[in-house]
Amino acid sequence: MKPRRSVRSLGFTLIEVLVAMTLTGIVVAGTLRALSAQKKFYARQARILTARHAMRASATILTSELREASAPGGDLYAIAEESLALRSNVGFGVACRVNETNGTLSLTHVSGHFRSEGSDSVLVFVENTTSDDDDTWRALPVSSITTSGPTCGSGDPAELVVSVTGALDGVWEGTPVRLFRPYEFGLFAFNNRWWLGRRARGSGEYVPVAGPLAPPGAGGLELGYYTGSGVETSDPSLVARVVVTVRAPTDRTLTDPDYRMLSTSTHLRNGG
Amino acid sequence: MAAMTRGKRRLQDEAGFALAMAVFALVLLAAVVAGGYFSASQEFQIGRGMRNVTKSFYAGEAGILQVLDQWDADTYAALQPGDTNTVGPITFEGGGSYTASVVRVGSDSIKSYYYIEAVGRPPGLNQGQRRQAAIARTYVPDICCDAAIKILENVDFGGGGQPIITGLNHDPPGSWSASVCSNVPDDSVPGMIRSPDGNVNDESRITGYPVNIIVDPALNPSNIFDFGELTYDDLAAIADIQLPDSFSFGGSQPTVVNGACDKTNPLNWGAPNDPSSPCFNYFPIIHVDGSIDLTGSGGGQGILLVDDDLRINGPFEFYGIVMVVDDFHIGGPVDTYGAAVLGDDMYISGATPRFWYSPCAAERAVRLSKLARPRLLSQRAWVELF
Repeated sequence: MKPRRSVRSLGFTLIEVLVAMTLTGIVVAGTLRALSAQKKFYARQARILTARHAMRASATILTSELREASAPGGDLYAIAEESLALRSNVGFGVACRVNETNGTLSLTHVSGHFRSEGSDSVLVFVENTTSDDDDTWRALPVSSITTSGPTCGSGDPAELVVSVTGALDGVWEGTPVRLFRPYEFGLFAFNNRWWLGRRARGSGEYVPVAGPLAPPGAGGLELGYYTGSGVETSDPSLVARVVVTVRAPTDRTLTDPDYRMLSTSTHLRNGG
Repeated sequence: MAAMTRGKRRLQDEAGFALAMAVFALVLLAAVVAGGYFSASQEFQIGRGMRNVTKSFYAGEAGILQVLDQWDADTYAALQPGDTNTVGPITFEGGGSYTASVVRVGSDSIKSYYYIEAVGRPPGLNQGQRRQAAIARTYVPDICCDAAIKILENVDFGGGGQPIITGLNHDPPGSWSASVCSNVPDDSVPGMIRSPDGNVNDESRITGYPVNIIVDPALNPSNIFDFGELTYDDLAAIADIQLPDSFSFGGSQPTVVNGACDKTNPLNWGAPNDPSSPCFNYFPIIHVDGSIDLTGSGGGQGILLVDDDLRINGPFEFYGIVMVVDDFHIGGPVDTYGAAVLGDDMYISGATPRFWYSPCAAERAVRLSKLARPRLLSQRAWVELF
């Protein structure tokens, strides 16, 4: 008896396998290529986002400091293309009682960071007489800041009581009191990166406040100073507008520089 | 038939992987697209946040400027130290809005300080806010005074009643105690500045510093009532009290309604002799459309503008600034503290008619009138709050 042969074809032919493997290879290669491109895209986007964060933060910090500065009042100590020294306003209040004898200012409407530190000083508006000609601002070192002391003229408790060293004659109730610290802003290197740093004016080490930014040679921080009429100036007392330009790296290594730039213009609000 | 059956069986027996690969590829592509969307949306949200922050900032800043621009002198002059007036919320075209609070700070009545705090918000609900503040104080235009009396025509001293015109500093006595005038610096000026067209029949009655009388050839009808920022007509146009021609006034009636000075009463010219009155610091601008007589044992204060003649028959006291287009007659025991600008002649006679130059009275009359406008302090008025 002749054995029966199955008519069903089991398995793949060589041709089918080759075609399938070729198609699979094409699909996998395309997918991997897309994934690789996407990975690079993500990484680049992430670096761009990081750079933008750094630039926004740097510009925001500097413009915020500059807005409150009074150039004719001497708040800009020194201006340079890549650095800036100024009176940084760190606290604000309104004097609701002025005690000349004790040298205290009782404050309401307090905002900011009133902490008793050795380098802190206050600027108070000195009215003197009703004439506008004798108005001035006086800087006084702070000796202490407490939450208790003379009440306001209205009898309400003061939010803070600031003791100062120096005369308070000519200071009227209602005067603004601005707590300030002299700071210097500039680029400095840390961990092989460049950062916008801040330090006490004339001494101390920089503390990073934003970054990383591009190195000085690549324009990490550029400051342009202009008068009210738009003329560039190097005189701190004439500055009415400052153009802040920052650049930040979007590369993975310092040997492959690629920088993004952000530029903003800020008018000093307390110029008049 | 057989061929159809064979084809159907082949389809049912299909064991390939194309569908699985397609699904796999679609999943990967979806992941790629989702990643790109996430990245873009993160940047979009950051950008939107920055935009809202910026809009909030400028809305608040515009709010402070709008409060200053639309300053309501009556409202803010009436605030007592510590009182607050809230403005808004005001929505700008474009959707940004602000709410401002104006707090009277300080206790001085002459040079009031105001703390203006504005909270700016972008369009939409719960999109964040930013706060900023500024300190303003009242500012007044310079309309007074470089002499006790500035006059275009003649000055006629009559009788033997020791009439006096002096440019030497005099603070009003009595209720105008030292505390009222303590913040106004003493000042002395010439007793008179006059044009060469006029004549003074007894110059010995006039004293001043550094000289008694200055003859100013530049003084003429076209500039005597021009004060630079304002003119006589400007002042008349904004007067608090408008009075008709031939009006007779027997002294101020400082009426008080609900504890506040009634500024609607045209006979209320302040309470110069009663520091406890709510009207003690009320200095109206009074415009007379013609002539007026001030008579009786009365008084008043403010800025008095007279289109024609002003006649004062004492006893009478006036504190402030007097501007008369035509003649100014003072008779009897009259004390006028402040300064005057006269467009024609002056007649001064009777018993002890006195015209005292008082920078305190003149400055109070200006600073406590509606001429007072807010102005930011010099150099460091503005602050961003956190």
